[in-house]
Amino acid sequence: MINFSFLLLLVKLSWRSIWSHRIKSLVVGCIIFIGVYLLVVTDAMMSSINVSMEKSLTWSVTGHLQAYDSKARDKFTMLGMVGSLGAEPNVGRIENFAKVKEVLQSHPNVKHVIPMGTDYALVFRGNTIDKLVNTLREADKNHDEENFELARKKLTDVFDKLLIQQEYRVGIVRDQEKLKSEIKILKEVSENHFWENFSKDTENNLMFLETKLAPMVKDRDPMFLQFLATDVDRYAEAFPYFKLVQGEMIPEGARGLLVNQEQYDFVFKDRMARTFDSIENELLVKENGPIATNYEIQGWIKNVQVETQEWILDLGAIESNKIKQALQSYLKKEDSLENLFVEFLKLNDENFFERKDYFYQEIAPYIDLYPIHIGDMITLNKFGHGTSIRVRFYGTYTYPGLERSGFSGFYNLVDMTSFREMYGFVTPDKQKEIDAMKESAGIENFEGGISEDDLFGEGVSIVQDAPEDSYKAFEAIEDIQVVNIDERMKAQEAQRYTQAQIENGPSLSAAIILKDRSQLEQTIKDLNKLIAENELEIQLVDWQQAAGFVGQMVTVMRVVLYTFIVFVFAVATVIINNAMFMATMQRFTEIGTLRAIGAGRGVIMGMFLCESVLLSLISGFFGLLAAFVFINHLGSVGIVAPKPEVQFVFGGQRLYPHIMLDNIYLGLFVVFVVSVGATLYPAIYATRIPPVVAMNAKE
Amino acid sequence: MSEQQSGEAIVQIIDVYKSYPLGKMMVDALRGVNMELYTGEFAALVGPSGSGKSTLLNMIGCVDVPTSGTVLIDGNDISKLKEKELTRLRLEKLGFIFQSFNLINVLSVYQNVEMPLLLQGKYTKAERDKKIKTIVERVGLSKFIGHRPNELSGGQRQRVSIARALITDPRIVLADEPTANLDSVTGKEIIDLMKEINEQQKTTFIFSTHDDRVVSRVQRIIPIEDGVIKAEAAAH
Repeated sequence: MINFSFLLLLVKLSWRSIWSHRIKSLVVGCIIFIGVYLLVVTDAMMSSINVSMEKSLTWSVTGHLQAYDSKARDKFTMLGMVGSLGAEPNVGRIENFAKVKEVLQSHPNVKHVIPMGTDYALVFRGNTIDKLVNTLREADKNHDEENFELARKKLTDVFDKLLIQQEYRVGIVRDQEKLKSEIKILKEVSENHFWENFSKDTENNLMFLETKLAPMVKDRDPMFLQFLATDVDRYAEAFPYFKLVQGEMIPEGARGLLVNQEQYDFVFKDRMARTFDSIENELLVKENGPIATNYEIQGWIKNVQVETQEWILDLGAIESNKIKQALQSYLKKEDSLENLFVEFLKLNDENFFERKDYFYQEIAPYIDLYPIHIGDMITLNKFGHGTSIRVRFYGTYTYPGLERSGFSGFYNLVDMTSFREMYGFVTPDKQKEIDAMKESAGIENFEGGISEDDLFGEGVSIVQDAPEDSYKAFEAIEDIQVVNIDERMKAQEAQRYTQAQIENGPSLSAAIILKDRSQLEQTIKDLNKLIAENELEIQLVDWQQAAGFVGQMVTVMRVVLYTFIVFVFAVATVIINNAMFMATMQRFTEIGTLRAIGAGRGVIMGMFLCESVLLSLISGFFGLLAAFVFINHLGSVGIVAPKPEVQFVFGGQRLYPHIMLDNIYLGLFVVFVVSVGATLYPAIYATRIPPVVAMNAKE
Repeated sequence: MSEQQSGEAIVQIIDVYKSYPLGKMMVDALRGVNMELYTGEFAALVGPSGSGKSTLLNMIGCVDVPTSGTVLIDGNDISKLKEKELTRLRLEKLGFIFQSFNLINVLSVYQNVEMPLLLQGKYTKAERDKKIKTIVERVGLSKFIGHRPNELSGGQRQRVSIARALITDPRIVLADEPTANLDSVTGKEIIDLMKEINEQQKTTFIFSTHDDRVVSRVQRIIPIEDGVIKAEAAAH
């Protein structure tokens, strides 16, 4: 029977042994200390990152859960969607969002169910010559000779540059005939008599420039817009991170677009202005100055200098002139606009802030800082398809704290109706058009295969014997096509959709926000039951799966860091094992004596394990304490996100980690397993030391 | 067999052989040993180095088993006992005094003496305390009860060893060259102490020794040579 006194003696024996083998104990203790410290700090950081990232994701785009088509071909993810073989993903669709909402909302833990759809669109931005020709046309119409002359000079400048470029391409490009004819045209417009005779037939000459010259210049790069279509008002209520920055909300029930402020500032904004902004951010926010030693900033400056020529081409004629005057006055010298700009952009630590202010005060007023402006009607062209929609750009929004993270700037918000139209779903407006067609054509059904019968008469071949009134259907289509586009747009914009109209229709997915997040697992089970009972053809994914690779990031980080920790502990195990083995060898006589005077093998085993556990607990406690102090310190000052992209993972500009009980349990568990594991072999070896050893001991 | 045998045979060695491998050879340490030890005896196994006296003492101490033959300790055939039973036998019935004292340096005198009692686990703290203090006083170390072995002289350490051997009231105390690491005066004192205990408490003592001081003080001399017991000479 092992009583309490014996246990105390074991502890005492262990403690004395730890003390008398101080160096060994110190080495083992330090290893355990470092291991526990690393493990607990890593685990606490990972847990905190997971919590922060969950907040970032669930409160901005994913919600706690996402429901989507159970027959979807591809896996549903909201960030970084890729379909089979890299194609556009096919995540199916929820046929009737209202029905899904009704069922899901019946669960007591479901707070919001919001329709969602994601897609890409392109916004085309026109071409420099088109823009200048428009200025010429306007100036001619208003008899504004000064502006006409400025635009003409600017155009001549563009043509000169184009001529140099095209002549350079002689012998290089395949279609030399086309190139030669382009060069001929360019030479023609460069000659004075073209402009001298311009006013004799202004409209024809303008047309000549538009049709023959404009196609030689490539359009400015289209803007790539990734958008999240949703019931914007409900979205703003349900997702706490949403905040309107500029402009106004899309009117209740209306069509419209809200652009992400970060995308607006860091992707859409004029690239020279963006360069000034980025340098300022690098110097003031990130404190990565000075310019003299920051090669990244120097690279940006070089790039913007190289791009000056192209940038100037985009300027309007009047604006070019004004900017030239401003630069001449600032630099106090006369030169070409391009050279003045290159000189102006020789930025360094002495002149940066002054020139940045000058740029914004004197130059920016003459340039289009943004390609789209709040209040503009924007045409969104569905990526890879012919369909397009026109929506008003009402304002910009952001997710405070996540401003500079790439992921938060992922989406722009579009109303559900526009999205459905672009996606090819039948919207109330489309239904109206179809109804109009049906009425005009006197047909009842205009869908799919049956429409052929309606158009041409039942059982009648398309090619032969069309009924007499079949032309009516085509006339109906023509009627709709000739409706004034502007009128239609205005009507569409004024249209307000009811909540029922917004919800009664398809969506790609439905975001679910829970009242109590801690009930997530149970709620998923309950909802799956509800889904099955109501025969809804949807499936659920949690926020982590919904976020795709972003959601898996923490898991990947965990795997990498834990592999490292496992390696540290594996090394620790080997070292502890060796140290304990050495200690066993040194205590040969002591163990033999104990065996001789009647200590069983269990006692010897207990002695060793007790020593190991005691040492591990002491050093583990200090490791825990150090980790606790460190994490608490980080928790109060926060860890600055090293890159803007990391803000999403950090849940803001700083991560405030904290230790949870789970982290401590894990630390203690691992220490226990490692210390016992590492001591097991030496302890077993010790129990095999025969008592006769004691008899043979010599001092 | 001694003339002064006073009780029953507590140790019986019957035709015991013990061989050890030494390289490729087998060395016969004991070759057909027969002897008995009686309760209350104060006996010494005497012989030169390599005579087999330590091997025989190890058999009696249940820390080694014979290759053939029978060793009965208080009626228990040690060859038939399991490891656990042998451990229990040592704990309950035997006490050990080692040539190098074999004290646990990290424990105090009190704790070293307490160790066998804790292993037995049958005494309360108060009972242990009383027994320890009595025995420590008996060996004359009351003043040093809180000291650690490395703070004591060789003789004092061997006294602690004696106290530890006697604390469980064993039937037999085995002492392997108990004076080998002591000077002559201290050695004599230690032998006198053991003799005194033997006489007062009737504890059986058996030594292995070639120290004449010990030999001159024992009651019975068991001479051993080349693994065989020679004819015994009557001692004091």
